Amino acid sequence: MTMPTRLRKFALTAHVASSVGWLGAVVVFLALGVLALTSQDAQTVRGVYLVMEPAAWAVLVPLGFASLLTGIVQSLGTTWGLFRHYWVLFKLGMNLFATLVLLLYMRTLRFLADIAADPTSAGADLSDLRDPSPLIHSIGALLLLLAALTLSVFKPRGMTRYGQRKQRERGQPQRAAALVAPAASDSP
Amino acid sequence: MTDPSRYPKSGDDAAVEPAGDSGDGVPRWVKVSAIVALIVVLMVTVMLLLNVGGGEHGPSRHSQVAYGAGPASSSAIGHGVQQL
Repeated sequence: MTMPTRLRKFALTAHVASSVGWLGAVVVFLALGVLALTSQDAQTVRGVYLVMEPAAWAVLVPLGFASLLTGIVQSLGTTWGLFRHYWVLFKLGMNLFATLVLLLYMRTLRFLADIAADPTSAGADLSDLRDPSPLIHSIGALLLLLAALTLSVFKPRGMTRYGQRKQRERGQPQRAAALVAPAASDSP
Repeated sequence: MTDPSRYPKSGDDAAVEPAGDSGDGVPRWVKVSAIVALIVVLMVTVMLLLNVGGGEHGPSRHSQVAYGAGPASSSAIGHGVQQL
């Protein structure tokens, strides 16, 4: 079912806003990851790990789900479809993968926040407190989201078998109508 | 921007079916991307299973094996209980 033009524009705006917002939030987490690994101030390092979990629940998770849902609505509401074109299918898979990893990773962020909140942990040695995991996951997420962005912009060719079948099914009635129309117009 | 010569009137918000995209067979970019994705998934799986980069900082930090002695072991055990 194709959405009306205004609704399509609104859905597209929502999808772009949530996806770009998600990308920007990941960049912020990447910066926080670098800060946690490079800062010489223990309070700063602890603060970074303490703020990551609530910030992820407040920003990353909602934007991830918003991007996923608006993307599904956008594809189903246009003739692109959800399973007809490989680039749409790839984006769906990447979005699902990123959201799943994010949800699983929330446990790790909770774990890091617990360590940072524990005053007995890592007294003088900051290396016991530091963890490269948020930076690594942020880089992975950034690469994945940039790849999804590239697919959205370039829309590489390639239709799935399902898409080809759907196109043929839609094409047959149209061709039949086109053949009938001139004959009808010729008739008195 | 989408190249209009490739997908005429078929932007993200278009109601028009992209034309000339019904070629049979799987495109090369799909095959290459699928292989790359498979390799990445396999690598992550192997890292999870072998605990590469391991200890407390590895991806299998949540397994019981990762909860060894250490400065954060009490937090880790508490976290493990939360997961149960």
